[in-house]
Amino acid sequence: MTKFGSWQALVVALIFAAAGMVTYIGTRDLHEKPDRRDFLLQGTEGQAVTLDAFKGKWVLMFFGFTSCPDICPNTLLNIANTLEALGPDAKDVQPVFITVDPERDTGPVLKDYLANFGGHVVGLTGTAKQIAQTAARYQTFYSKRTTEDGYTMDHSTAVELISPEGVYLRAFRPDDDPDDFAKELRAVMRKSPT
Amino acid sequence: MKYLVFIASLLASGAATAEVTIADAWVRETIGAGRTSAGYARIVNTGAADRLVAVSVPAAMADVHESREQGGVMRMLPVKALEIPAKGETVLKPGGYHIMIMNGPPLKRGETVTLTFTFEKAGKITVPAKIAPITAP
Ligand SMILES: [Cu+2]
Repeated sequence: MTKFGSWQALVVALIFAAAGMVTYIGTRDLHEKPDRRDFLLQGTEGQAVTLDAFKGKWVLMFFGFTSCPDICPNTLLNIANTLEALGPDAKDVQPVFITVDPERDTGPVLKDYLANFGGHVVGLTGTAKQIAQTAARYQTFYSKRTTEDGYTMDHSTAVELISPEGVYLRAFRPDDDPDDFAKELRAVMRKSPT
Repeated sequence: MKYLVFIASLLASGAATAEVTIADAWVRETIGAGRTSAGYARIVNTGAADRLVAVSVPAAMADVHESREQGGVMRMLPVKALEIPAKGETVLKPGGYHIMIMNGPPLKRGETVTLTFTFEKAGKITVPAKIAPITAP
């Protein structure tokens, strides 16, 4: 396997981000077309998963990695608390965790890890290229950084909201208060009925 | 309660015991094949300013880290020496300073693990840390 180093990942992410930005601005200028950000990734059973798989659900998407002991569990906990605060509306929401560390986060590893957060979170992995493309489309940056004890991943922490029609809406901050976050989500969900 | 702490600190200073104490130490459990965890604690200092220079965990690599957001990107950066202010405290908590624990044995919730903190002045302090669920806040 060829090593996909941190600078390569960063360069790829930057290129895709630049391309994404141009497309985004272009699209807006022309017709205000719905902002669909398609992707092709792999589920925890190795199956192909695209944006269409989540049709009919409000998707809360975020990027992280399971060897992230400090920030990622907190984000996942925040999402679990937000779903609880949403009450019955939570059934229309699907949290999706995309790993930025496919080298360590294989399907089974992701599945085991996410099972601890209420079992509601869908885990996605993929090839380094698939993940880089997806991340760039969602303006998410990440890079691998070598440490004394191995490596770690630096990554964006925003939580992205996608409508049931697959339209990208906006990013939230993960440290938002779950009650506030639920209130904001509910407001968006009420405005555009499924 | 405050009164008791005050008396206790008076007694402590008289007995020339350590001026740095560690409270509420805990670490996150690891999941499956995972070998990365984080540890947290409250470092209370009743004496002069000190610095935390190392932490060790049996059979694992441990470093003091800080989670810091730079331009929307979250990074965990090593901290060479963590300042513990005089007559104050430094708190290691999720989203900030933490002890990064890597390549160690699995950490199972409910069990404990030993953390050894090394301070510039106070020397080594060893405390048991509770292993909490991965979802611990
Ligand atoms: Cu860390």
